[in-house]
Amino acid sequence: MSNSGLLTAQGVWITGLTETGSHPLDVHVAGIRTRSDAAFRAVYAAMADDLLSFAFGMLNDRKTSEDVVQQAFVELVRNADKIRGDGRSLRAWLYKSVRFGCLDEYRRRSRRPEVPHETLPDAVVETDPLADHLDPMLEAALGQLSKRHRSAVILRHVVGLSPDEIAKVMGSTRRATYAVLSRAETKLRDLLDGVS
Amino acid sequence: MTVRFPELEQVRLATRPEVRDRHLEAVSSALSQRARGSRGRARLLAVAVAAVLLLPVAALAAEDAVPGDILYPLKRAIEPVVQVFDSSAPAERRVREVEVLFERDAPDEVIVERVDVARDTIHDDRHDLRDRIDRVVQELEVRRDQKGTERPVEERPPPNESEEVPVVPSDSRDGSSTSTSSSTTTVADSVSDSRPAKDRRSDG
Repeated sequence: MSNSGLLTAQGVWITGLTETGSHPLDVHVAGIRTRSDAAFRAVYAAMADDLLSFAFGMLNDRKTSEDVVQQAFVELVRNADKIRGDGRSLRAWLYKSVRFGCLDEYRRRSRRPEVPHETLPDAVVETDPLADHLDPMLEAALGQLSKRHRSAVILRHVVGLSPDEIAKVMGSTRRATYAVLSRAETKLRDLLDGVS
Repeated sequence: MTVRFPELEQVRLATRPEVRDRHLEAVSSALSQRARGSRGRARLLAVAVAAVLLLPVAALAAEDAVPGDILYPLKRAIEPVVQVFDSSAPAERRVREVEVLFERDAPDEVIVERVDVARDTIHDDRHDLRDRIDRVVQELEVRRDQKGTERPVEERPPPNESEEVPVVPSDSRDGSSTSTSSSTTTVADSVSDSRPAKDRRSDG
């Protein structure tokens, strides 16, 4: 199923997008290629929250996620002239950049000793929307997914990307992405429901 | 059936205003650095283009350069290219350098050194070039005499008054134009004659 997406009153595109037709970022692609400050600000305004949410869902650390998003935009400045295609390509490029930033952070963390999750907590607790971390139960469940499954679930159910777009971000095929999504969703549902 | 995850609602974040400002500041800074880098590269490119355009002009200007001139290394650098079109070019250029040095009234020792270099470069069949070198050597002798400095010829006693028997190797100086049969130093003596014996004999 293709996700049609939603443009908020603030002009922020917050959910999945149609696969055809124009895209809100299309008008900024030329400005990005020529490194126009206005184009970068516009793209940041449209994308920052989604990118931050994706990174937060991957890393469970607000501050690190903010750094990853900043780095993605700095990388975009460096590689602006290499951006090809339309607004969708630009969007996929940014998600891909954030994903690589998150994988780098995983590598950094693997060099640092961390307290392992022993068991899942008993219940989901209400959390502050500006909290720096996910609630422990959700993080414990997400932490049991592979990085690929976690990426797919967050991109689909938090950011609202379509499977086609997720495939682009993860460098995979549409068929493989559907399979990954299906397995990841089932596993996460089971973990959250306390099945396993 | 579509799986729903209401639990994931908490993952959705809004960028805090201070973070947004910080990020945009970083982006602007990166854009400025990039622009400065682009200007730097543009300047470098302009210098490179100017150098490429000026190279032929500099090469032409370097044609009359002699040892000690700023453009002389450039002249030597492009010489292999010139030699492709004219194999005798290096010899002619060395001879011309000697002539220019003489015209510029360069120190004798410099000219003498370059005469040696020129003679080493000249092929056996280029008598015209050898003649030109010999002419410079003779004129150098005359100039020395006129200047009166070092004055090797005047200080030299007449051959018939000298009590010393000149020690001259049998295979040298026997036929040169400066063979005044003296043990004292002359310009011609100080220039090692690298010509084959047959050439030297033909000079006499």
